[in-house]
Amino acid sequence: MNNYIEATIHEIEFKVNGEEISMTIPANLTLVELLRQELRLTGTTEGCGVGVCGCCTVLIDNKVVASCLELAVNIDGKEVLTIEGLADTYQLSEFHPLQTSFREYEGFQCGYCTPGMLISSKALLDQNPDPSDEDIREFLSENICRCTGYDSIIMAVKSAAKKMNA
Amino acid sequence: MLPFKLFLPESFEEAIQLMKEHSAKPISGGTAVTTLIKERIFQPTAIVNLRKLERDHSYIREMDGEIQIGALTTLRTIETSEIVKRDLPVVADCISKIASIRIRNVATIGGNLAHADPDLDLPPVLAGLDAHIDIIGEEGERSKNIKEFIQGYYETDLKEGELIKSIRIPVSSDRKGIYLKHRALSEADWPCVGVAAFMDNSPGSIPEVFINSVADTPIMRIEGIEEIFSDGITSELIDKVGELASEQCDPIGDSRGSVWYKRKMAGEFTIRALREVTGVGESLI
Repeated sequence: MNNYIEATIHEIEFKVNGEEISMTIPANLTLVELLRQELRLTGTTEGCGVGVCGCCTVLIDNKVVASCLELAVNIDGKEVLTIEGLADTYQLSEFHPLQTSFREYEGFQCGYCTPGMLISSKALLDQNPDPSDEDIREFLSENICRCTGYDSIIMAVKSAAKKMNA
Repeated sequence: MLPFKLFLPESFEEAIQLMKEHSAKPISGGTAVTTLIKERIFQPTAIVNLRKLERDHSYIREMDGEIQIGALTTLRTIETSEIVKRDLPVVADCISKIASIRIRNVATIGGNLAHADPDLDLPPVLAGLDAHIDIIGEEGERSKNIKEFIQGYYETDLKEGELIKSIRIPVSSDRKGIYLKHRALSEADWPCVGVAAFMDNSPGSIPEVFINSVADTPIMRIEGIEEIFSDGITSELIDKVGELASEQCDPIGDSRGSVWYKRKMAGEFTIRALREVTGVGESLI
């Protein structure tokens, strides 16, 4: 019952990109703050801060989550995947096929939304290895990009799926 | 976010005790409340985080003629459940229209209903299905029909120290329902207006219509449908019910539309939903 006395501070144990971490954090810390400020994993970006834009998307136990709305205490005992760990999930290569395809098809310009796009796309391909344009549009419908106009992103995801199925 | 104390109970009893001891507010998935805390609309000093109750209270069970859903079940779990898709397709469809997958992966049905935002998608559908909310508090458990549970603008029947334990939804293959969500901004936005229409298969039955986003609660029932359809249902009479919907609603103008526009849309989507459930007139969706 000790943590009830100092309830503003919590001990958590979790995994980020395969690495086990235990640390003490304040109760009001969000997951994106934990990642960027405490762990210096600055690949995950924060856009709107209210769960709408999709920039801060990470995977918690393989499910897409908006890390700006998730309290960091909630990842206790869970596994988080951020953009920094994406390549390692695929045959320990330097880049994940999604990353190479986004580069080939120019699926980004400024790059701010890209980590969220890639993580969401990975979640999609995990569930649906051969998605149609419609599937991709639906799954990525709440990842907002103000540069590309989306077509190149959809082509990139399709090409990555093809590479991974080959 | 401003600092606050946060407690992580593992049972409803413990949660209720902590809420009382620390005058703390409960938070479940937190997708709505965290936003309010960030914007400093809500400035809690203590929060009871119900996330650890997920272990025991995230479930979908088939009971006698109804489906019971634990309060900590995420919207995504419900939407993708084979049981829900088979027996309550209108619920699965409605949930698939709420926000985005990454929000539905975290937001829970208990938190969603306790929030009682007038723009919520689920309440009009649950009203049409006559769902019941099971409530747990210090003095024991009680149950309330969803229509009486949500009482007004962000107001529910929950008393201080009470929590939603589960939701029970009757299953009836004789009742047909549809939820139409009109979004004025983006795909994952709150509704500009959402219309749920339900009707029994039996001869002579009269449809019911519930609308969100155009009143101070998410369950605005259109009154007077019985009189209009007393001698049968025709598409002219459905248009009349549409007019009734426009008249009876009381929207506020915002970025999703002016008062005039929302009234118009409430009528239009009532007509579309009624044409679907009654099978009268050409489909407009």
